[in-house]
Amino acid sequence: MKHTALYEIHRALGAKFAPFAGFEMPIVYKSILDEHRAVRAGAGIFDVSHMGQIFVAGPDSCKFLDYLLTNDISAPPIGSAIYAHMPNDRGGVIDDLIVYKLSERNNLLVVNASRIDADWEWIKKHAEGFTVEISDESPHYGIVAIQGPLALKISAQLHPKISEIQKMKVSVIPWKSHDIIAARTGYTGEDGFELIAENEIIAPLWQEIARLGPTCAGAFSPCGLGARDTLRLEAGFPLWGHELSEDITSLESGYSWVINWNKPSFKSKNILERQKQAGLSRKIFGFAGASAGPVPRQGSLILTKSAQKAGIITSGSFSPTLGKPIAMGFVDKAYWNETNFILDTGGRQLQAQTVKLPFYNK
Amino acid sequence: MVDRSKLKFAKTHEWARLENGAVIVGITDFAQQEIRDIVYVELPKTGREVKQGEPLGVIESVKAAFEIYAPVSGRVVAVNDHISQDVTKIHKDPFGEGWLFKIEASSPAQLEPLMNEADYQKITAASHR
Repeated sequence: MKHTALYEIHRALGAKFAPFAGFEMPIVYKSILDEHRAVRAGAGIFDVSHMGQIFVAGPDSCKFLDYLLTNDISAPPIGSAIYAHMPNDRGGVIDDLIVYKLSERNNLLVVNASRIDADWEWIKKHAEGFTVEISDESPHYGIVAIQGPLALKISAQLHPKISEIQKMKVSVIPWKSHDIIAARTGYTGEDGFELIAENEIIAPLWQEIARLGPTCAGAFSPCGLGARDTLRLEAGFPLWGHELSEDITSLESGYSWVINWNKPSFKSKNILERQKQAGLSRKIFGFAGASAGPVPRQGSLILTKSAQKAGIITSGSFSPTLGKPIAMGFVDKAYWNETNFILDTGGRQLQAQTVKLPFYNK
Repeated sequence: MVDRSKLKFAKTHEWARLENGAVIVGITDFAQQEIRDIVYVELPKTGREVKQGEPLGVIESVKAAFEIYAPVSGRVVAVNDHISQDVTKIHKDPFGEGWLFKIEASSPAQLEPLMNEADYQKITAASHR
């Protein structure tokens, strides 16, 4: 089992660990509910060092990524953070990722931990014919995320330049004679930063934020992957393996905005165009429990009142902010006009209504 | 304070206590700590007949659902409705206010083979590194 540079710190904090994508990761320190609420009310810090870092450098860097990814990489200015999907030959999603445009000739891809190998093989396979140098630096880099309404105030004390970084932008900041790739991005539905740096500086960075956090009047907590999941679900963000997979297209996931149709060509553009013209047969809906009840989980059935199967839940949890169960799931086209459903988890049933995503908007 | 020497422990992490002819059941302090973040509890209906070892309730945390098993056979004669109003009672006082239901045992002798607290603590200590 792999460990991040922060493993010993998590142990000292009393974290409960679980295997995740080959890493032994902290799921919770004390309470997922408390950690979740700290991020909504103040700030939380997360170790997301398990995520992958793939650098694509060279004169064709943007051109190559424009071919591989759904979104436009060439047009946005240097310093942009661009969310995109990487389609396979069938229009399914190999991974969802953020491209950090460090320069015209150097882009950093931050990818899902569980997809590093698949991403790397795919990128390597398609690099021929492009003047690019690709390198998987995942083992050498870590990421500390600081998220919440107080994240800016805390991060600005690391370096004043951090407060100049706008939302969905990235900048390289010097810190303790190292470079930190500081991005105003996140996965919680709150303002915040993701600080990407070489492993040797990750522990000092975490410790410094952990020291600064409690000095800003407000809630502050280290947060495990448990809270990360409930936060992203409330924010309506997809998770690969749930709302996205090699058998689910960007259109079906409800993320058609990641597709830039103006690009002359990109991988599987024709397939996605055809699906757009033909119309979808299923798409993602949000659900909220009418009251307290069994919590829907991935794989729970979406049933009509007359017990017909209308779809399947992809993610579900109790929403700490709303105080009731919430879920996302695929609904078949025949049932798109219905609003009341039963979410069935092994025979245990929750009355639920469709709700507009996201569940939480700050 | 609950006199824990009167409690019997099941390896599925329920405790049981015989009081005025009925067996009161809850989950152990170890179990509530392991489950963490309890958000929903499903209790049986009063009057339900159960066999020892049968699932008759569910405790859900943010992350997962856990079944509660009947430590004795019998009939459910009471459930703790306060729990549905405030599930945190299980965290705050698992052996007291956090009790879940009472079973009128058809054979109270079924409690005999269950563990005392010291033996139960041995198995929970073994499950921790």
